[in-house]
Amino acid sequence: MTSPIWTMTSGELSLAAQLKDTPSMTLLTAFAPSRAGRRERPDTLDRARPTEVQTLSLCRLPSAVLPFVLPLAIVALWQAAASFGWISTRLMPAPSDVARALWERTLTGELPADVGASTVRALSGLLVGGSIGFALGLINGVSKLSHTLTDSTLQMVRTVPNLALIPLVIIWFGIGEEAKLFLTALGVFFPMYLNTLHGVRSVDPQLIEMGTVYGMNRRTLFRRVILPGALPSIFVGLRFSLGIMWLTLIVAETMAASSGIGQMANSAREFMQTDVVVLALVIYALLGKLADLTAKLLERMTLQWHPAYQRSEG
Amino acid sequence: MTHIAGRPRRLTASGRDIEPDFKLGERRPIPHQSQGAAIHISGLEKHFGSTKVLKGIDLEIASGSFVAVVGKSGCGKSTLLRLLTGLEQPDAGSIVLAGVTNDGSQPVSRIMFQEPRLLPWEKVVDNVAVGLGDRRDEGAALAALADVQLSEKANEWPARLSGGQRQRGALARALVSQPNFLALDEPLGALDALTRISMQRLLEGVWLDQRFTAILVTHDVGEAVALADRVVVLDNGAVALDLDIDLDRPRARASAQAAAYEQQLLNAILEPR
Repeated sequence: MTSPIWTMTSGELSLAAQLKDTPSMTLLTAFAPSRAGRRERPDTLDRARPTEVQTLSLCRLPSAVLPFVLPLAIVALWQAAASFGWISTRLMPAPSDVARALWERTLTGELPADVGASTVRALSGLLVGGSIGFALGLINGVSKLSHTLTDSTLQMVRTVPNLALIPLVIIWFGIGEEAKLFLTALGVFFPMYLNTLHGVRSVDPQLIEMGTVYGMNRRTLFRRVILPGALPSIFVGLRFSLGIMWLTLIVAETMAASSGIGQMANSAREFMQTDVVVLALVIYALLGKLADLTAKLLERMTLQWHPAYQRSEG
Repeated sequence: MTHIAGRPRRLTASGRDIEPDFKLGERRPIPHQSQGAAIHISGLEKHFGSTKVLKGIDLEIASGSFVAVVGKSGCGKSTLLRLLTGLEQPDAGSIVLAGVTNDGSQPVSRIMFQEPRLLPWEKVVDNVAVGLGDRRDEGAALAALADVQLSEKANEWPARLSGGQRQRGALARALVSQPNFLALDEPLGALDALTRISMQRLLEGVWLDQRFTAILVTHDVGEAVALADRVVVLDNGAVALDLDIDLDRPRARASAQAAAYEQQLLNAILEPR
């Protein structure tokens, strides 16, 4: 995630990202004798070691559990390494220490307050930047004039890493909430703008022609053809935006803050509380995953017509 | 064309030999008020840049007739159809639909493309309702689906339909507004041979029922003879042959007369003048 912005520029990514995003295609299922896995398994392996595959107990697990196997194994290994003294707990705390930090901070109410503060910041940044990006993407996708006027400027601004603006932002807004909102909104704006624009522009022109021939006015054409056609790409933009939203917020909160997860990690660093620092990372990971799951759920609800979402039914 | 009193001539489709997936018993009479639009084309010209695609076409198309336009690729047949449906504007000449210029919107004309062009994000029945414009009338959409034997797929996503079923959905969308004129731009070109034959029979059946004026652009001479009353051969932007097909309906496949017509048409298309 060091420079995620440029990855969005290639619109081809959008559908590919969706199509390969089926949860069952993990490394482990590829070797499971399930219906989904059989397709992926090389034939030679199939014939050569059928009994071994049968006895592998991993394969008996339902595919819903399989994605959790690898992270749990890593945590177990990490705990073992800390417990047996292979790594210094001063530099890297044991998972149990992190869990204890989580428990204690939840009891004192510090953690919920920090998570709440960060979430509010993240969501307001997403709301502001995302809706501006979405609106501009739609307008520039439909109107040639608006596109000619604004697109090249926006593309130029896009090439500036938004975190490079931090010194200027501090001068403009100080180190308060406005600066964080500005940075997050700016970071979220571009993936949303680019993917919405790409989505609108890549709507099948044949469908637009059909709509025109069948007498749709501009409003109906937009509502029934252009917007739904752009939706898959808009969702790709949303998911990229969510990633950038957390990334920008982490940096903005480390800059200066009196609350939030970034602030929690930063002040823990000063006291060498590595468990709290790691806890902050874990929480970022969980929040990021939660945001991604929400976006996926939204996708699933609105894109039922998409062939990629119909596989499970038959 | 203003409102037309009386019902158009109705021919029943019963007794046709038709493949089993069409349930003939389910056809029910629909009170169609439409009547085919007569089309007068005179001196029609169209050029793209310096290329003249159509060089003065004159055609009189009788109300309710089924005309096929055939020719090599680039002969101008698709351009003619795009002009007829208002997708392009002519550079010279005029097209008059049943007494009203094609600027006026009196007769309803519909087009069926080579691709089904169904909206993937709307159920089949909603796609058919696109043909109704602003009028929301699910009953009419379902009736049109029944006409093309696709009732059972009304609530499916288009992605779940086979190619032939999608094209039947597109036909229902074109027919739901009871058009006076239906333009068919190689609508069966992308289908496999067997589906194409069953679609040809379906098309003939609904045309016999509803008697709209139909203009079919195709490169398939056999299809033209199987469907049309009259075949116009275009060559290099001009009419090379205008042939009436005098065969009984519903058309029998692979008859000797049909083969003779096909041969005559092929000669006109392939032999340089």
